[in-house]
Amino acid sequence: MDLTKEQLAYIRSFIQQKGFKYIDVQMEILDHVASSVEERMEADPALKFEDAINETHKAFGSDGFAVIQKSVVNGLKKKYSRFFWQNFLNYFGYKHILLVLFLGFVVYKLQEIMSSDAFYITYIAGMFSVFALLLLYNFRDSIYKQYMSYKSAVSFLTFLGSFLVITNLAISRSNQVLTTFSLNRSFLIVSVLITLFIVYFIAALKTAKVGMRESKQLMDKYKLVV
Amino acid sequence: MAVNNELFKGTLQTIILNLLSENEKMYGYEITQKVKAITQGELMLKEGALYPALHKLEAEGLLETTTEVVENRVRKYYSLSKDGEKEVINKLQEVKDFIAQLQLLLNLKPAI
Repeated sequence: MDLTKEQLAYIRSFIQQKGFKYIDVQMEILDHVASSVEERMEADPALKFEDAINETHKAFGSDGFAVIQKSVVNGLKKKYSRFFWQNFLNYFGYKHILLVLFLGFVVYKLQEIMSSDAFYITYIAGMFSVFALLLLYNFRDSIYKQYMSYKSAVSFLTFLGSFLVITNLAISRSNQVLTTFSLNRSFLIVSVLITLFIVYFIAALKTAKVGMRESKQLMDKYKLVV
Repeated sequence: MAVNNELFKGTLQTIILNLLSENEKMYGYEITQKVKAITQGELMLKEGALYPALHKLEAEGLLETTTEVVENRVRKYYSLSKDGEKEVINKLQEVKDFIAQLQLLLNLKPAI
């Protein structure tokens, strides 16, 4: 027997009351519970709908539905982490390495050409542009925050601030002139950090976009059933 | 006599991969019922074991997922990825080798 829309809404509400707020987590729990309730009620037509839900919930054990949420969260973290690092490392492969080295070279040369004040202002302006772009993305896509896929995928963007702090420290020390293979060591460190920051930012942004796309696909389907 | 579930925990991933190699796509509850039906209720695949295994296989890229609207709800289907199709052969061989070693260790005769 198929459950009615009202019965499914009741199960959805039951799951939400247990504290499961992410829609993609709810979806997987809901389908499992609904399938189990349908089978129990088919096997025993005298069984009440509410009792069938309680029996199903008990069958999950002492942790209840948390077992599904935990595995969804861990699975998504691993999935997007794998995607992020594959993308990040891909820029150091044969296809993009020359571009990355060129980027580092440009940053190094800019430090040589520009005064330290002018370079610092350019750096701060660049960072502000990055964070303005992130704010714009977050603002536009806040509707996806109800999805664990989105939350896991954007998590890499939160580490960008660490790069900013480290690079800032490196720039403020760039008055010391120490050389390695005839290269200004401070300029070199700043070039490496900024290049890594840019590569990290691109990989994190790509990962976030995949999370947004997958959340949007789920949201479109979810709208059809609620 | 029911089989001790602890004994099949180590082969759970292989069981899931093998089921999905025989069925194009399956959803979570369907997998638990399939295991129950094949083993005539001797093995019960609990949610607490199934979902962590499914999501781990998905995160490792061995499974792919699609979602469909079925019976007024969104259903997540699992299927083998290209890597999963290759891995199922290796995993099955590993289990077969392990069973052969167990038979030697425990002086069991292979079932006819």
